[in-house]
Amino acid sequence: MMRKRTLIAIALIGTLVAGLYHLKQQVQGVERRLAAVNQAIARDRQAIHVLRAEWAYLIRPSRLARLSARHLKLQRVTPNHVRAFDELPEHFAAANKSKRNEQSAKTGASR
Amino acid sequence: MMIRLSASCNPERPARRLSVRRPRLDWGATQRLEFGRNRLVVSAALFAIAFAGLGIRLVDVTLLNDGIGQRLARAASAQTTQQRAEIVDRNGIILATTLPTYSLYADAKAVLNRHAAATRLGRALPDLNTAEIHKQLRTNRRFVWLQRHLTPRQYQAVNSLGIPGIYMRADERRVYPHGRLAAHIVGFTDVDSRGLAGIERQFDDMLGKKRKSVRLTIDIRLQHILREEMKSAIRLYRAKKGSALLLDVNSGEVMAMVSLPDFDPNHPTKAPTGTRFNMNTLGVYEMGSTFKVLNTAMALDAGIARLGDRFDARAPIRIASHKIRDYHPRGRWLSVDEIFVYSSNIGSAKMALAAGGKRQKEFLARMGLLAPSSIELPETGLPLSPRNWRPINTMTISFGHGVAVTPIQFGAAIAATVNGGTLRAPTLIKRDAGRAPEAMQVLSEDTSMRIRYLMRRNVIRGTGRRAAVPGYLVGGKTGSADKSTGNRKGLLSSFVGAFPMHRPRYVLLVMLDEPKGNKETSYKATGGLVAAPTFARIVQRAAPVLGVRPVDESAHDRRWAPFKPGSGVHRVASFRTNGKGR
Repeated sequence: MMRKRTLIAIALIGTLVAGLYHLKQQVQGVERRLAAVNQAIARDRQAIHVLRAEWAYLIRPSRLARLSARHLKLQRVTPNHVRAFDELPEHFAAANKSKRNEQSAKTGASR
Repeated sequence: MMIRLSASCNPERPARRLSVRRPRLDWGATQRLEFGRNRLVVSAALFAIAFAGLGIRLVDVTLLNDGIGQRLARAASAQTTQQRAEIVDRNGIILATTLPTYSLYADAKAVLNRHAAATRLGRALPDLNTAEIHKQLRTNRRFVWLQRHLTPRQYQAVNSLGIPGIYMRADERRVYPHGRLAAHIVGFTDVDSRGLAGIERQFDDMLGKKRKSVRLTIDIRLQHILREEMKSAIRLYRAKKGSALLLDVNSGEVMAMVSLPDFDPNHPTKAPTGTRFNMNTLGVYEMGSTFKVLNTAMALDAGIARLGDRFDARAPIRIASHKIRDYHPRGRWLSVDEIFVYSSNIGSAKMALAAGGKRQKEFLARMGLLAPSSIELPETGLPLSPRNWRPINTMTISFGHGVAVTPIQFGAAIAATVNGGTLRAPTLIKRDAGRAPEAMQVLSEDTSMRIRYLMRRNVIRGTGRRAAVPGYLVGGKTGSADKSTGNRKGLLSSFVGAFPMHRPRYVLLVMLDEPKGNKETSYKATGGLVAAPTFARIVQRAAPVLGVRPVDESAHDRRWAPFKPGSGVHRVASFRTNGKGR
């Protein structure tokens, strides 16, 4: 009777100790990971911060203007380039008409 | 239990005390068993209590008390590097930020071979002056800065040298990616990131201590347009300086503001003298004829004159040793709209006299022109006005001489005359939607509409014709102020205008200091010849960015018809009828 109880107690203590040890190990592992992740976050944040600054530097209007002049063939926007949505049918009708006139003028000339 | 134990220690029975450690043979087996069992129970109970305590604490920490854990976790994950906050434009583009850097220093005592160290450092960092380093190392001090703010590449280079006594420490540096573009607004800091000028200084606590970023109202694209156009205008007309200011008339927001020459805030100490001066907020100027917008608004609003009323502009006014003349004398009575469109000094002076100096002073104060502007910059100029407001002052002030104001407060006053009469303090800080800064009704909606008509008319057929931009309904007023400094003759040529005039959204003020005419302007450099075309070029480029839709101008201009002045009454105004004497 006494022996049985002692054995149970020892087994219980053993289990508890093993459990506690395991838990502690796990917690330490998780903590290490947390620290590493936090560090990575801080590093990434810093990197994003620096990249944002670099981005701001790269989109300087003067630089964009230079690049646009070199690589794109864009004209300056004049009021004629701006049309409201409801004016579009009118605008295209006029454009088609002038195109047709041009074509007929060409064909007329070749004839 | 306790009683039994203490009983066994009873000094009256010393024999029993020994028996605890070495039980006598005559003790019964049952007694000994009993004793052992008791011992076990005691220790088991103690252990049980201890473990129960641990268990309760474990439950407490892990399950119940999670608040602390979360707080700890948050504290651990918080950004470890605390830096001065950013300044961004209205679209969130960074104008000022802080970058982590490394600063190079030496413990001169710990450096073994100074000459070798200096040479090797000089090879790794070509920007560094080797002789200077050598000198620094010879000081034998335990701490000498060799170079502040190394780039990551330089850091790597120095690190791989591994010279004992040469160290680096984490540092931070204020960086302005857009450089000169908004230098006068953003300002700059010293080497230790303390704000010395501009927004950096005005909001030093907020940026540096509270780490809260500041969002400005300016748009970097507009800033670029203004700067580029002003730069080419200064070159074209060989002006000394120039400034431009774009204001949202309905919110008081400064959309863009440039003052040239400017400087690079990344290297403020290398800025030539005078380049840090912000003409828009710090400079005070006698604005010249552009002031007639305000003079006319005052006369109309106070009911002194209606658009059609006429004033005698037949002859120059002589007062004391002064003579008030017109540049383009008409030699006849001029109506209020003619005075505006022909920019008649004589007519304006007569109008101001009719209103009186007291009313004029009160009006200018109401328009916020006699006290410093509340713009959020430390560089704010104090406007100048006469101490004794005599009739001569009243007359010269009517056409913009005798009162000197900063362009920013003048722009805000003009915004109030065209936006329906609401004066809003100009601001550089972007507020949340619906939280406009406080506004004050200073003019009637009716007066504002008449001023809009006059400004538009002046661009259609007056002195401001060169400011016209087809589709954007520009209206405005030219100004060419004589600079009275010293014996040098020079003009301050300006143009102030708004667009689109049927429902104004933006006011633009362009100023050129001492421009020179060229062949194209028949060698004249008045506001209408040099500032107005610059104004037009800016509007043409800025309007699409601002989202102002081009309209059919003639259709809108026909709607001004009801304002066309009929025949008004002839008004007589002179310093004699004013009754105050001089």
